[in-house]
Amino acid sequence: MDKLSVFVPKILPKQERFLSGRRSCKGCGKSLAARLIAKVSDSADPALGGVEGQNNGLSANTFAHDRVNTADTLEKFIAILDSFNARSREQSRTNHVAIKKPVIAVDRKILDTDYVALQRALKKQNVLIVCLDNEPAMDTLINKAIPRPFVQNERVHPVTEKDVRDAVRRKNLPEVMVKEDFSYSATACPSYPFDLIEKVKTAVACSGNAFILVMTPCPTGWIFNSGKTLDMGRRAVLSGYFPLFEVANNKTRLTVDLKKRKPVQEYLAMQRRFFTFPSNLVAVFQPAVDEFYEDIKKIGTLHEIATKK
Amino acid sequence: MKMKKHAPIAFGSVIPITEDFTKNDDWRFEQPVWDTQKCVRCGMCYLVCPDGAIFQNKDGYYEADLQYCKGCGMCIQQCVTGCISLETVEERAPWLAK
Repeated sequence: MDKLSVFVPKILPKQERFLSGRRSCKGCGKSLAARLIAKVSDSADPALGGVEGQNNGLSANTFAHDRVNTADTLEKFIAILDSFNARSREQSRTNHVAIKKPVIAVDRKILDTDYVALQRALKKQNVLIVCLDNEPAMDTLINKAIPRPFVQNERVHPVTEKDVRDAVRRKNLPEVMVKEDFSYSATACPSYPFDLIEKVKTAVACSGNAFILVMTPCPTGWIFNSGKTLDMGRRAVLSGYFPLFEVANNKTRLTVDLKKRKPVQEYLAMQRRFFTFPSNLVAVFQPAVDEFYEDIKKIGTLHEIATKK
Repeated sequence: MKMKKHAPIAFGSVIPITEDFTKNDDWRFEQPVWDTQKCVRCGMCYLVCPDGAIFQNKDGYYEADLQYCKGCGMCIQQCVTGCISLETVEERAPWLAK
């Protein structure tokens, strides 16, 4: 029955917990991911946020909803966690329905800047963290790679092949999270909506902390037509740039296993933001992606061999 | 001759601007229109809409809530039968034309 329900959107619950408004742009990938997660997670109060990360100057509190909380910074994240714990303590005392597992969506920048503090905050907790990633790190790489005038050119650090390789390697966050005693971690993309939904369901069901990295294409930042956000995410998965996999019980499994991958350069050419990027560095993406994809396959086989013995 | 009285000005008079943020009707240049003869009622457009602006009729067909629709065109790209088409509401400026 699970296989049959793959492309039947009618079966999904019809409750809408997402507040639509002017927080997101046209065709936003982040808001779509947040909407799908809020729809599926059955916990009593799913706290979703991170959509405000792209907002310009408008405070998140003006759009606050009972069920929608925001975790733009680490302080907000900890405040939400504490409120959940306090509420669950009260509910257990008064025999109300207890909260199963809070779902908190965070922006990528929390993990990049305050990772150690977040690690300490998550001890002895039971949370699902959804990291919404629209590749802000790639923009800095593009800005760096713009050729300078000849006098400045010697002083500024040039973008090397290693920088490009590191930018591709950052997609391997779930492997890192497993070492930090996360019981379940996975990658997902809203262009494969039912894959995302199943991963959220399994993450909520498991005991202990869970982590999901979601790639969300951004039409204003990446500069493409707003109708093509889902095609963009699909192309990223099919080219192997963003492989979909999950790590549970020390086993990695590729949920979309590709025998023939499409070239990465076609995917990069669809985005207008790469038009200043030097052409000799664009060619580096293909071998970097190939290495990254085959490493994930190898890790999967190694885990399986270790568990069988 | 009687003068009209001004409405009392308070600090809260700024706030109605934020109330308008819930509506997106002045953002869009086009709006989606469903052809009910072609529509299979699969619900793909409902699933894909990033603002949750598409809902189901009493007849079972899908329709856009024009208060929230931004006219991004995501439903048109993902439609299986191609029953959704764009209807122009405002003309784009020449530098914004596709």
